[in-house]
Amino acid sequence: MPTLELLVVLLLVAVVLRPALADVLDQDALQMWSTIFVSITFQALPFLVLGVLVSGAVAALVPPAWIARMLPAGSPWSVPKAGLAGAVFPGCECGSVPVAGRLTGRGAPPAAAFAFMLAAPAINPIVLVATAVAFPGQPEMVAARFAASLLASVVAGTLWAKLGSDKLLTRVRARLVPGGSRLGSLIATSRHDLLHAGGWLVLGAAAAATLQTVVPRSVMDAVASNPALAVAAMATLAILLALCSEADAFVASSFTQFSSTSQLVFLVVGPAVDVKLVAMHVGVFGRGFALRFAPMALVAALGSALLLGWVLL
Amino acid sequence: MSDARTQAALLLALGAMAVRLGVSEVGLSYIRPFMQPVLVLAGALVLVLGGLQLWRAVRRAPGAGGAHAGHDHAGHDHGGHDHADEEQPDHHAHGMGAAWLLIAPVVALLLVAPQPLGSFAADQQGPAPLRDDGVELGPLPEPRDGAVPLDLGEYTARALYDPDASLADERVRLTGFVVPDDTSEGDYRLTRFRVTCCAADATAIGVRVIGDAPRPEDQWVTVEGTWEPLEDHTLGEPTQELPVLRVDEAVEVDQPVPPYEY
Repeated sequence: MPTLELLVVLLLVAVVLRPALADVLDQDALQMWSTIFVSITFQALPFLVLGVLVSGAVAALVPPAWIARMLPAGSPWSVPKAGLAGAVFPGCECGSVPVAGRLTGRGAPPAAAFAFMLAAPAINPIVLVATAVAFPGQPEMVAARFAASLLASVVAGTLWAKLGSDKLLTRVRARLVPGGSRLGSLIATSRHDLLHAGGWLVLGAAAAATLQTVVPRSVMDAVASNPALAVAAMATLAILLALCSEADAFVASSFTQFSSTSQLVFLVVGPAVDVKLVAMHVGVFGRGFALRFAPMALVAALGSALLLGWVLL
Repeated sequence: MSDARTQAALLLALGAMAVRLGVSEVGLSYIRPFMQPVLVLAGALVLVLGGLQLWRAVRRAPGAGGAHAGHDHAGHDHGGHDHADEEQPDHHAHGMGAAWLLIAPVVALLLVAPQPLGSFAADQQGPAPLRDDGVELGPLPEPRDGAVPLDLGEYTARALYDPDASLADERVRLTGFVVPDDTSEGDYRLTRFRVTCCAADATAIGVRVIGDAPRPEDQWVTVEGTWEPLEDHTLGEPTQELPVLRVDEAVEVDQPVPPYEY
């Protein structure tokens, strides 16, 4: 199929028809959608690029034997170790998905890779500092976020080990690992993961932008102002808004009418499950995986946040 | 190998757009100023990935003279690429579908005139005031040209949550865009978005302006006036009312750079 020609035609049509379609295209709602869509995509792009470079480096430089030694398949410590390793990966959730995909492809136990994938965007130093800034005078919020997200990642990884099926990882397993020179395979892997995860990131960004444009935030606030529903509402908001984990603390702290525990739910659920992440999971791991893993991650995140909220806040 | 060239074109278009948003004022409608150099770097890396892919695809294009010789030859200096290509048939089978979407943000930027969030988005959020973020308020800045310049966030904090009432008897100058307000006696809500990370997390900050003539929606305006305390509100307590500014001087201005507060 002459896809390149299609691409060129598409771009030409876009440029040529722009004036004719101005009335349609300059509507307020479309403009707001476009602004949010573009801003999520390009805000996430540097983190995605960092993520695919790390994932390329894992593929090219880290021998499978080393991963197998660090994260032995049968060991009960592999999952918590991988979760803790997330504390030193300075990215957000868009970067950690391709890295987890690559770890799995290189022989890490999937449960451990998923623990890393959930922990990295939530407990790394940048995110914790952002949380401390967003909740001045509430260091217990930072501690609760760290503990709840780490716990959630371990629980979700363990749930997957018990209830999941690694057969669902169709995309990861089907992919051969490039050989050849190290630089060459780093570049090839990075490009592959960028095209792949990037496409699904764009889909998720479009979904989040649509929800923000169509559903007024005041409606979301009104739903959430019922105390009984506050926790469920904050979890739902976290899933629908699909914020970057480096920004979500500021949004959470702006919901001052909510209890600290429901704010914590927002902070723990968001980096684990949201519309953009589910789209990326479909792309990197496969649809079957995404459908099975999202509920597990949600249950683990909700449970951990409620437990830590009860203990610490 | 037209798919390899398509991939290259996708990456080049995306990288070029990232660099453009990273170096131009247009980018400030979407991301914060300090992220711009980071976006330029990321865009440059994407351009490199796309450029390498294009170079390789062109070298081995069928019909190009000596392409096959070039292919074999490449084993010397770029062996990795060749081996890496062995995975290509696999991910072409299911991969290009999602990768295609990478062109969507580029097309969106070409088709929809780039604009910061405006009154439509502010209406979506409703007219609730900015909440008390507990940040310590220092002394009021020095007046310039006869009025204290404040951003809407600081004006709200001082007008609603400052027990010392630092705005009393002060003349202040605010800049924002117009959101028409039918629900109150105020002429309009002077509004600006506060952005934490990117425009997706923007929060509208509104100040009710009274004493000015009605103005067109989304018009940027700089106003001067004095603080009007709310009735039945104790400074420092939470409220659902917007702070109020009684305006006696207003000029329409161009959209400021950057359009958001941070």
